[in-house]
Amino acid sequence: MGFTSARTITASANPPRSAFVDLPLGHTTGGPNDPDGQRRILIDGLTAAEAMVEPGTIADLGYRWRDDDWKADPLSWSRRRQEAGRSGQAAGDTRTDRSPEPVYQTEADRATAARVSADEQCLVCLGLSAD
Amino acid sequence: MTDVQPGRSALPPADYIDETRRLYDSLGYDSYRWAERPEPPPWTPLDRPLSACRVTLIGSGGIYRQGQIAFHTKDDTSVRVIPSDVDTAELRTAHFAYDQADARTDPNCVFPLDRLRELTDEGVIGGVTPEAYAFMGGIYSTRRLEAETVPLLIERCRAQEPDLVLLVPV
Repeated sequence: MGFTSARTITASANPPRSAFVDLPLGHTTGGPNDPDGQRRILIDGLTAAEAMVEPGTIADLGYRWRDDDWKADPLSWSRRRQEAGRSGQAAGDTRTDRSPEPVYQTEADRATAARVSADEQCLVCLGLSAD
Repeated sequence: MTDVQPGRSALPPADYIDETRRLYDSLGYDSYRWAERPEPPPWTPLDRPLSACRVTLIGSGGIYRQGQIAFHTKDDTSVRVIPSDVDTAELRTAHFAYDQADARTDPNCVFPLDRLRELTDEGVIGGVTPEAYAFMGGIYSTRRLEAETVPLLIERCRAQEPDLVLLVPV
């Protein structure tokens, strides 16, 4: 089964069992540091999927964001939030700046990955183009 | 007040087909094409109660574990194997098409391993398979996704012998 926040795309792709959460992208299984809310979303979605009998069912779970401001322009909500100083990260899909270089969350991650690779430890990455 | 509340929004769901089409048009890109699968999807009955199901988690939010190579943004079709008993403080994100701030604060927003382990302890699900999988869903080529990413995931996932696969796209 799958969770989704993009109801029309899921309806078009038509997977067998889905649970829709009406939340901004990046919160498919809940909000940050909200274990109770995440737990309820997972239980509701899994329970709904267990009961489904019709292929292509999308269960609408009853969850919402704290306000509806994001729905005015959902794709630029991230960008506006970033500009407001709430987020220092991704600016949303503008189809620019795509590159085959890994994008590490931190420079420390880059160094750790280089060290792990040098030590030939196995932290499995599948399907890298160098494979 | 938490960001997520029970209840329904007064507004209809965001239509990302329409939103993305308008965005691409405004940027001068080719029209957005989304997957259309009008035929009935394949159906595998669940042959046991949820409480007996072993679950494999697959997320497309660009999750990688510290020490792994991060995803790149140019149709990266590769997969990261995430041990299900990982300390989620070691999880990172590399994606370009959503605001990662909350997922970086708490990976369970898009990769709910902590919650699945708790649901196992509570008996809501039967367990979590040893491996979970992550990829970076911002892949514009459906052809490459289907030819490269999906076979990798299916082969590796089948070896886990899950009863239920939990997909968490972003």
